[in-house]
Amino acid sequence: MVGEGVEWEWVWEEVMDHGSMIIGVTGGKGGTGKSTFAVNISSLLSRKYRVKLIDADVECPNDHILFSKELKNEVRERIFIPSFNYQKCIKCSLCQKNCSENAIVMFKNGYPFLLPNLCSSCKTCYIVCPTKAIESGSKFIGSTFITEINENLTLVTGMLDPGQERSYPMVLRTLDRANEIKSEITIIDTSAGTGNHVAASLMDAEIVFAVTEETPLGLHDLEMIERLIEKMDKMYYVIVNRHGISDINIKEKVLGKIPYDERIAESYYRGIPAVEMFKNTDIENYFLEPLMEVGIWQR
Amino acid sequence: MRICIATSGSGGINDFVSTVFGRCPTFTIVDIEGNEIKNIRVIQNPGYVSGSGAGVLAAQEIVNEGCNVLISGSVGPNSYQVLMAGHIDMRASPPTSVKDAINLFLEGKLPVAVPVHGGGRRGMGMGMGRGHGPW
Repeated sequence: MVGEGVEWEWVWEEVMDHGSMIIGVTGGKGGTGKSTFAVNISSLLSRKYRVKLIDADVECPNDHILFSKELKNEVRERIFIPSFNYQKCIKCSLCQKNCSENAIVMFKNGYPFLLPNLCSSCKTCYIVCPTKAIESGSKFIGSTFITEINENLTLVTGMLDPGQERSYPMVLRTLDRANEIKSEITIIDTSAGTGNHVAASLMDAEIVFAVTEETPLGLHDLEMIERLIEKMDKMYYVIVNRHGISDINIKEKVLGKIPYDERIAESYYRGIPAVEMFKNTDIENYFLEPLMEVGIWQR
Repeated sequence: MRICIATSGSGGINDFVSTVFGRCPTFTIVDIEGNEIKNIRVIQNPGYVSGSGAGVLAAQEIVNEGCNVLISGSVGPNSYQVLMAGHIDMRASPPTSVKDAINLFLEGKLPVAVPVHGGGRRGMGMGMGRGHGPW
């Protein structure tokens, strides 16, 4: 079906070279099975390697639900916001003029003040202030968690606080927190879309799986994510989930097709990875095949 | 008393009140002396072409122009914060002509504006489709 001309040897050498390998799981469209795929391959790979799964879908992390685990080891994360020292401020309005988000408000002859909701914590105001009247403040944006799934598999989760609008800094915090864990294989489960929060998640990935479905919307979003991945110059393959639900047939770069199967749906609502629930069945092969094709899992 | 009206076209006394504040093209500023309209001025809204934080820019402009009253179809949450800080009396008006809106205000018939959360799940300060998540 697939795998013509796949440079699997190259991939395997990567793993051997620096003792670790980073796999990104993305897809563009929401609800195509990114988390399902990520959870299942990390569960599979944890049988042979030390694996960490990073849930970088910080707006609604759900990988722990698919493992039926409670999140543990919470760390609150904060980002920079300017804090004004009005004793030093000379009302030069440089901070207000340079704020690209217009988060700093300054009335005629007044002191500047901040609308924290708009601040993207870019620190421009901090840098341009000639009198150092802007000091480092901070605000909480969310939490990161480290949860042990089994002795070989650790889940790192980032969770944005409700009401927070910027997921990009939270993704970076999550990736930072994941550095605490040593592993041979890292799997990054990104959120849907093609925004900078997805790009940030894929930054370090060496191989990217784009999970999609054969629907017009799935095709459209696949094109968008392909453009992003090509721009980032990553090696990527397409995984088709729920194969057989329509007449559309995606062929290009397809590494595996997971058919529409009620057993996978059952494992999903029971909160057990399909490869664990249906060990040694054809279900396992659906997830194993793409890994074999790229040589991460050897026959 | 100085009144600013968010206008939907090129501004002026015969233009219409805009349904939005932050991204309306022009502001018509009039001075009221003893129930009479004096000094009609039109200024461009800097927020009209701004990438993000349009309401904040627009509100700053209103405060810096020394206005006491703002008449607009609606006021967004970020603009509302800035206008509150600038002690502006915000009034909501239906999209009538500027002249009618001023008369309605002088008769005390325009209600106080309350901030609206427009544009679906994330209206707040998220212009030009930025910051949109998976859905």
